[in-house]
Formats: sequence, structure tokens, C-alpha cells
Amino acid sequence: MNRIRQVARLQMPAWPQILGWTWSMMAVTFGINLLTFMANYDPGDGVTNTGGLVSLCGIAIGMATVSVTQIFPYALGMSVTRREFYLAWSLLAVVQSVVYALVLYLLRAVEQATGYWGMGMRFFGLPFMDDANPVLLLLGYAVPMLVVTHLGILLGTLYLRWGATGVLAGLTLAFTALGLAAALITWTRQWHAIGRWLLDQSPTALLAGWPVPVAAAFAVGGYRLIRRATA
Amino acid sequence: MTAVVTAHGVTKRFGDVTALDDVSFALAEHTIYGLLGRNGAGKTTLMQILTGQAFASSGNVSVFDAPPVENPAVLSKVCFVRESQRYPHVYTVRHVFRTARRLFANWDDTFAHGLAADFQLPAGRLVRRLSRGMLSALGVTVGLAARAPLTFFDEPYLGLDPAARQLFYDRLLADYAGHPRTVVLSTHLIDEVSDLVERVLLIDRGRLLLDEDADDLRGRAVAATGRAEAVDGFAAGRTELHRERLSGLVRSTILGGLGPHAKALAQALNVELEPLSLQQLVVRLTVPPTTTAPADREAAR
Repeated sequence: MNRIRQVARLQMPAWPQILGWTWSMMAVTFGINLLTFMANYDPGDGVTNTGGLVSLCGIAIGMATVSVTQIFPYALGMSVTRREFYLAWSLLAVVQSVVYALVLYLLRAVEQATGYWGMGMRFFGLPFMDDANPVLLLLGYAVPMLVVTHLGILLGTLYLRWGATGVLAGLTLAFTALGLAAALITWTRQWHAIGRWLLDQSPTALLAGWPVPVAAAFAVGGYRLIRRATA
Repeated sequence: MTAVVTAHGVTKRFGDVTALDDVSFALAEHTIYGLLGRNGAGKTTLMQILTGQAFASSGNVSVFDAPPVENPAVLSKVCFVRESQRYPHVYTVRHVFRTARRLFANWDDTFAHGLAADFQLPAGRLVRRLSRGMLSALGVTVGLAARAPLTFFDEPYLGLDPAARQLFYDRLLADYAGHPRTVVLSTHLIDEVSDLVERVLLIDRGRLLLDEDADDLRGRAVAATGRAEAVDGFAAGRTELHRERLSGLVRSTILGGLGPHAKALAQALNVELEPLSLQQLVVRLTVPPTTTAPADREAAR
């Protein structure tokens, strides 16, 4: 564990950049959303959701991919094993997800205290989880972050193994599989059943329950890929 | 001898290119090796396989009595300074030293900073902004200060000027005396390191050509110069590696030691003998004789 921590610290010099870029991009997204809301504000509208958290997810994916592809060749050169590197980056994903969840939790509190920024804009709050207890709420933020960070790491390991071709082929394959699944569902008229199943799940299960096996699947995939990667 | 590394039939293929072809050897404890060979001979690939960075297509490698691939116990005793090492975009020289201190058990911080001062490495500069020479100096510093029991230097001299190279050789020898370890130096500047290396591994087109003591190799071949008939007489029954003509005289590179009998024969035939340097021997062994005419090669020199 000590060794994994030392390997994880290889990312320390990159933290100012990762945090700086992530949260300044979030600030820009927030500002643009706020301007748009100001332009169209009508006090009778109630609370409207934005895609604020989705942009954070996108940024987290990119940051994780870049971090893996930048630091892995160096780690390998410093006699670090691929296993140590993967476990260290997985640990970093957990730490980052928890820290981001805490930040989002605080920002959500500010959001609610200011009456959704004074104009009914839900940017940081999670839909359907208004009455959840703090622990579940934190999990609702942290677990999806864990999923996207491991997706970013997975994309990074694809790059390490097969270069840009590997990433593009992987994405093409994923979109093909998802598209075929959607077609199959339409073909067999199952959308209604799926919608019902989704409605039957609690928001907690959707945000903090089911994503766990998804994160695990990404982690297993990334681990298997990196074990044969060369710098 | 205590073997630190043993390789048996190591082969590496990239598609239909065979980078390493059935390479077998052992590296002894506390010895400095010269890993010699032309560009593309397979030196870097071999070192990558020995350090678990690349995977052999077939064959067995054992480092400190275990396979090196994904083996933290083995890799903790290994340092591989690669000429083409990539560093993260945001790293400064100081970051490299800090991470090396955490990752190499025997890292000597004082030694590292002394070397950095010798090489005039700017601690605060981004690694990607270093000149080629400074990048080499950074690699050399990490490789020396890590004091790993098995250290590989892959063409560490690239970009270093002669004074900096001499500094590296001096520091290596001095530190080796106090902290003996196994060092593998891959290099083209053979004559520069010929006093440094104790044993030579020569690779050519993926095959191991030589695995011998440097001292034995120095007496391995001679250049015999004289009139054509005299040299023919001297070379009869010996293996001739190379022959060139110089204004009526013939200069022949002949493999084999120089016994008293050979010396007497040379004297009788009025053939002048001079021992071949390690570098000349390597050139003669690895340049295919038909690629350039002797006269062309002479002109190129």
C-alpha cells in the first residue's frame, strides 16, 4: 500500500493543472448557463435542470485519459510495475471522486441557499435527490465520478496498448454495441418495460448503486489492458 | 560467478521482423558491461525485455533469480535509463529527482544534487524545455544516484559533449568503486568506454556475436600491413576479416591472437603488426564486407 501511495504521488506535479483546468472550465460553463438563465428568467418558471454535472463528467474523463498516457511511460521507466501503476491511478480516482463529491455537495448547499442562484437554475444539485440524507447524496456524486474517471483511465490504457487507433476503435465498438442494443430493444418493443424498471429504481440505486458494477467493469478492462502495455 | 541476469534463447519479433534472435547470456554481479552493436541491432529491445518493459516472443529471462515482468521485488533493484525516456509534460528537473527519491530504495539525494551541479542542470526547468545534452545529463544523474544493483544506460552520451561524457565516466567509476553493482552501458563510442567496461556483449542484427572479457578482445585481432605477397604469406591459414590497399601496401585485419611464432613470422616477412582497438574490431565484425568497397571506406575515414 505504501508503494501504491508513492506511485500515486507521481501525479502530484500535475494536480495544479488538473484542478485548475477542471474547475475553471466548470466556472465558464456555470457562467454561460447563468447568463442564459438571466436572459430568459421568469419567476413563475420554477426550478430547471442544466447539464452542469455532465460537463464535469466529460472533463474528468479527458483529464484521466491524459494523466494515464502522460505518466505511464515515465512510471515504467522508473521501475514501477503496470499493476502498481493501475492500482495507484485507481486510488487517485477514488480520492478525486470523494473530493469532487464534497465540493459539489457544498456548492449544492450554496445553490439551495441562494434560491437556485436567484433564478431557478439547478446546476450542481442532483435531480430526484432533494430529500436524500447527506451520505447518500455524497455517494450520488462520488460513484458516478468514479465511473467516468475509470472510463477515462480505460481510454488511456487503450491508447497505451494500441495508440489513437485503439481509442477510436474502442469507441466505435462501444457505440455500435449500444446502438445495436437500442435497435434490439425497439425491435422487441421493450422500451416501455425498461422505462418502468428505471422508474422502479430509487434515485440512490440509479446514481450510487448500479454505477458500481459499471465502474468495476471499466476497472477490470483497464487493468487487463495495461498489464500488456509497453511505453 | 553470481549471475544477476540469465537469458536463454530470447527472441523478439515485431511482425515479420526479428529484432532478437535466440539470444543467450548471463550477467555477473559487480561488473561493468558494454552492450555494443549498430543502430537497430536490438540493444534497446534487449534491455527493455530484461527490465520487464517489453515482452519477449519466446525464451526465458531471469533477473535476480526471477522473471522481471511485473515483478516488484526484481524491479526495485533495477534502473533503466533510456535515451528516449518520456517525461510527463508538467515535470521539472526537481520533480524527477523527487519522484526518483520515492521510487528507488538506494537513491542518494546528495549524490544526485552533486551530479546536477556538475552537469549544470537547472532544477526548476521543465524537462521538455531541456536541451538534448541536459536531457542526457538528467538521465545519467538518475541512473547513477538510483544506485540500483542492476543499472542499464541506453546510449547515455547522446547530446553530451566530450567533457560531460568524461564527467559521467569518472563519476560512474568512482561511485562504482564505493558501491559495486552491475552496470550495462549501451554505446557506439566504444573506444571511449573501452577502459571502463570489463566485459563486452556484441549484438548484430538480433544475434549475440560476442560475449567476452574486454581484455581478451583487445588482443583478438591485428592489422597486418606490408607488401601484398608478404601479407598473403602471413595471412595464410588465418581468418581475414578485412583487407584494404594503400599505395602499394596491403593492410589486412586478421582474427586470432599473436603468439611468439606469429610475431617472428611477421618480422621475417617484413609485415608490420598493430593490435586492433575494440572499436575497430567491432566495426570489422559488424560491417558486412560487401556493403562498401574498401577504398570508399578508406575515403570516408
